[in-house]
Amino acid sequence: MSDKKQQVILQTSDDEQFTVEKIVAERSAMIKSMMEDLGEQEGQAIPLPNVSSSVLTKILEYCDHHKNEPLPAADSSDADDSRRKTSEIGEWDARWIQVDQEMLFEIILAANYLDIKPLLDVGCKTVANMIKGKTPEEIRKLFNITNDFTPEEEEQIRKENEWAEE
Amino acid sequence: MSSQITNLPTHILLAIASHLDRPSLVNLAVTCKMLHPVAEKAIWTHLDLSIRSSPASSIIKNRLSRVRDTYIWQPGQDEVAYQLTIATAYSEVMKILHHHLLVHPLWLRHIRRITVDIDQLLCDSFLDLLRLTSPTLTSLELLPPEYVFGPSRTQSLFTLAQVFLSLDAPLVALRHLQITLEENWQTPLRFALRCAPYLRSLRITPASAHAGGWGRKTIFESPDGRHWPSMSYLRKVEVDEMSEQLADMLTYLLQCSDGITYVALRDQSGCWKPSSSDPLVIILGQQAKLDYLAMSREAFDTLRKSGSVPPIKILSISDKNVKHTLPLLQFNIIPQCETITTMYLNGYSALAHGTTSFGWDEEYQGLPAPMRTIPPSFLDDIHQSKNLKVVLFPTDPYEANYPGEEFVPTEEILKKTGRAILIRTYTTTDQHGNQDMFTHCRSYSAHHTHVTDSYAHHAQEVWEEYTDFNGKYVDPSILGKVYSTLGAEGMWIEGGRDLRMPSEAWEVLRKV
Repeated sequence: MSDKKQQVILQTSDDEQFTVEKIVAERSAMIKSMMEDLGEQEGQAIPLPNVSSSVLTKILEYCDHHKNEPLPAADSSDADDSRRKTSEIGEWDARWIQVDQEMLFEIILAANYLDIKPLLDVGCKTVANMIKGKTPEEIRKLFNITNDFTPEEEEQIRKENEWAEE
Repeated sequence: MSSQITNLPTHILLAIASHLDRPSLVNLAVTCKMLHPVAEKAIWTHLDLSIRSSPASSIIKNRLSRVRDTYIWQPGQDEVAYQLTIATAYSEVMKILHHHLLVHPLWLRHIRRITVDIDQLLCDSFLDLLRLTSPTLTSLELLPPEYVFGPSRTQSLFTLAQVFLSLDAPLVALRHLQITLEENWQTPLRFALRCAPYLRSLRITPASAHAGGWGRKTIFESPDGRHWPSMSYLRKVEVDEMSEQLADMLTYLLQCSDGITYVALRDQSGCWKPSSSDPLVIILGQQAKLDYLAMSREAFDTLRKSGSVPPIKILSISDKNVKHTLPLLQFNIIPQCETITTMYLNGYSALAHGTTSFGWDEEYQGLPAPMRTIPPSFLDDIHQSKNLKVVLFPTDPYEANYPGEEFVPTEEILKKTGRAILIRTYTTTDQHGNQDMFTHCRSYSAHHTHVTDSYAHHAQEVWEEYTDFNGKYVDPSILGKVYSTLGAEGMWIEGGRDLRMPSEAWEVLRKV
């Protein structure tokens, strides 16, 4: 089985090249379809102009750890199912994604660009967990957001969405 | 630098928001003008009107509870008049919500999913909301009444049939419908299906469940012989309490679908006893795209005897005869089916949630029995089912957390499920073509209580190993040596079949 040893070369935005096992790279639906389009051209690097080498290094760690899991079905949409998937993050994933905020957002953006659905999901859940249970002021502080609402506007939004007593 | 939360594209922000509850979303909405519309969209995507939902999810819960607190039933009060008072007060709350949404038409357009109980709020205002959201609504859940003995007539302002009949346009976006049905189930279901031509997922729930002898079981009317709409887009059918009366309708739905992938005919009390020539059994056997199947033990045995088992990956069996030990591990429990990877054996819920924690005659009460040593017959069955990786014994009713999904065990999930047998086999072929097979099963019990005389022994997270080499039992003490050649692999919790091992590991085994 020569299939297992197949490798691909990925080229990041800062022109670094990574040689990766095909099965690892295929976690990315984007790279997978790109390889299918390019065919078996040996030694040709796949350019990833939106991903830096530091982010790719991190993401490849994730892909390598999950390389043997079934890929999500291409047409899996949650729209028709009422039951949301659990918001728990696997133990390994939770440890892996303990990074600074900038890296976290870079990972999310890269997962979106590379089309790695489970990774995007882990990233989104991690951000959601950071927001959960915090006051607006705490959220602003956490993400360095400037408040552009007046206290009256703030009160108005709160009242309408909480649908509080008249 | 550049990477800030406000720089994330809207669809990612919405994905983040989808993991938050209402209070967190409201806090997020007031942080800044950029996040406000995103949070607001997430707040109004799901209009949860059920009395059972938590206040963190349901917008209406606090107001409904206040109605309850205001009108407390007094002994001697006329029951009908009381129910009417409550119903009127509820529909008043619904009216205010309706008005609130009319003032914010944008929010109406955000609504994708509505959850409501069938006996509380089906008033004029609800009908109008349903009409207004009908072009974009993707999921509608009509949940059972709060009252365990079925919906109270005086509370029911509109029947389901009236609700669907009054829609002036079909629910073209609707993909998932959960519908709660009473004795006269056929008319409302027919109207509902006619209104949802592109439905992909249908779940049928009885208005009152027969749980542990409590409540009044819904006895569905016999088929009236009239036609059912043909639902060609249907992929998923779930019945929470299977009964014979539903069989004809289900047969027709399966016939008309382009390819069903998920069928759950849940039947904890074993009410549906089909013969092997039953049309529903036959059509189930013909489903080439079926991935997931849930049935009672008896019904599944009939399907097996009919000679045609669909290529399912996940099988969920419920057995009403579960006792305190593990009778489910009797001989021949695992079907010889090459495609199955995951099997759920249900029936522990009543034991797990029991309140008695003392023992009679050394039987285990309250908590399920510990996993015993895996009997050899079970091993035989495993060797016949070439892809089976895990057998789970959920202590909660059914695999509620992971319906129909490929099971990827983590420690948290195992703990939540209760108990499981994880299966691994390793194979190797020597130069003469002889195959060696090493089987390693691990049984896991999250909690168990063992009662002897008057002492109760509690234990947590018990693992037991069972190993065999080419069908011959090997003492699990060998495992340390075998896995030392594989590095940290020894603590695996993911099952697997036909795995590889280095030759040193095989040498260890051959020497035994």
